[in-house]
Amino acid sequence: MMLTWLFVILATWEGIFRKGRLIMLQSKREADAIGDSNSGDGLLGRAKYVLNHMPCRGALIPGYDPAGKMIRFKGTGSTLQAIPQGGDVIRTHTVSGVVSDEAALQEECADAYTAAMPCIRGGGWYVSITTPSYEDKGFTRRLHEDNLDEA
Amino acid sequence: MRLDSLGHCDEDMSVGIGERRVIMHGMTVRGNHNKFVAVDLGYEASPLITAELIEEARQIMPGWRFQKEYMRNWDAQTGAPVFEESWIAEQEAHARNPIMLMDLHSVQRDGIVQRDSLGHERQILIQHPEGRLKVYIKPDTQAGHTLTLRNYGVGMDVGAGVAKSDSTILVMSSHNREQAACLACNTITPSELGRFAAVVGKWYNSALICCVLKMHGLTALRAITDVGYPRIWRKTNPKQGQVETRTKMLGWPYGEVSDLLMGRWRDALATPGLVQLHDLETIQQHRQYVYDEHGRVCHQRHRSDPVSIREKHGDLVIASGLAYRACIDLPLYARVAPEEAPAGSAAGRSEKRRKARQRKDTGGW
Repeated sequence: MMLTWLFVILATWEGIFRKGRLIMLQSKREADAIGDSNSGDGLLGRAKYVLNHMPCRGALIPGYDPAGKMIRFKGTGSTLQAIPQGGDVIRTHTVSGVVSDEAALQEECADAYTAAMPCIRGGGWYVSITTPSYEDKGFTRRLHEDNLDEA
Repeated sequence: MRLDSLGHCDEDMSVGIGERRVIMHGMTVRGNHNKFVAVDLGYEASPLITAELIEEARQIMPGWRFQKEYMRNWDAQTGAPVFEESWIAEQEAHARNPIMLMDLHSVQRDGIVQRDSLGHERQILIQHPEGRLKVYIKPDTQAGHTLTLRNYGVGMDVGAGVAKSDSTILVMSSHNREQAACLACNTITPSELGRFAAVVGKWYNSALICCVLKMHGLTALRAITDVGYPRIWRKTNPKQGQVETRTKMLGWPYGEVSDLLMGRWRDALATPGLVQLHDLETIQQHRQYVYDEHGRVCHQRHRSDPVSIREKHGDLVIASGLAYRACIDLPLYARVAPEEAPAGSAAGRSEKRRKARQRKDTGGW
């Protein structure tokens, strides 16, 4: 369904046009989150692929620094950062948005959600994309079906 | 929120808490009480995915996998068998009677039971009409070369020995992943099972024993190390020059139904011709494993039990997985060791004197 592409593009858009945003792109493993920009693989790899292939990027984007695990946009000071699963990596930062890809396949999905909660309450956003699975002990299903109290 | 004929939505983009809206075929939006918006998006909403593509996917992924991947059915796998019927049917074609039954026999000399330095009885395997070990392949079966024998892996699942759950041993040839022998007994104690496995391992060309570590597995592993059996599977490589190791560093430290074990064993069974099981009981026990509502592999008898109870279950399926894991880490063939001279012969006495001299030189006494 290419939902991962859609939300990576939206996160990239927010990084380009909004100031001072820190957007985390989270996947099960760090390698999956970083991916490869040549083949448009992974989350950050998809974002880099989009930026590299944008037709009039010189006019749209003031400039960006595609460092290893992150993309820094020079004009807005926003950052896209690739992170592995878990709550610790989010807890340290004040994030503006989190895209969690295949969330139900991440064992530590519930920790990541808990860690992101203060940022969500402060105006951030959290997108969880997944196919059905119970690797996370059913957390994503409960979040999706509005049954978090059952945990 | 409504979509017009071009697929554009109107200005009403909000969804109330507890409200559920069908936006279009295959796309539902719900406002959750935690202020999240849950979007249920199916392939039906995509104009690119045609009915032909779906039918093709259904053919490729029969059963619950299609339901889970394409129909967003979280519980599709609940109660579904872990080992598919076609895989088990393939194994049933290899089922046959054991060529002999064997059991342990204490070595006696002049009516006195011989014991080792720790006081355990010296035991050997002998043929017995009511033997617990079912043998399908003898260890001395040549592998097609004159100087090589088959290597074997032994899997062990250890129960308490109180007639509740089976303690099992399964021997598998690393040459063609063929079941060579098996034992399932629910009254054998963990220590006795360890000593039994050491004797079986020694008989099967010093097979590599892979034993569960959890619970009573530690006792069985201790029994194997006590009799001096050296070839025990371990997760990490021993350090160079290390001669002793803690028992808790040996054996299979992960879960018995984990993907590392059961997942690999399932993949092996799914590959046609990769493994051959001969024991009908072993094959039948594969039918008893199902997925629970959380997608975890479990024995159907313990489906409603907590995980701690499930872990106490033991059977030949776990032993098969462990034996297969041991076989993966083995070379296919073993070189034939030179035969030892018979005890009491001139050559035997000479060898005994040589070893004593060697011990004296190295020991320094």
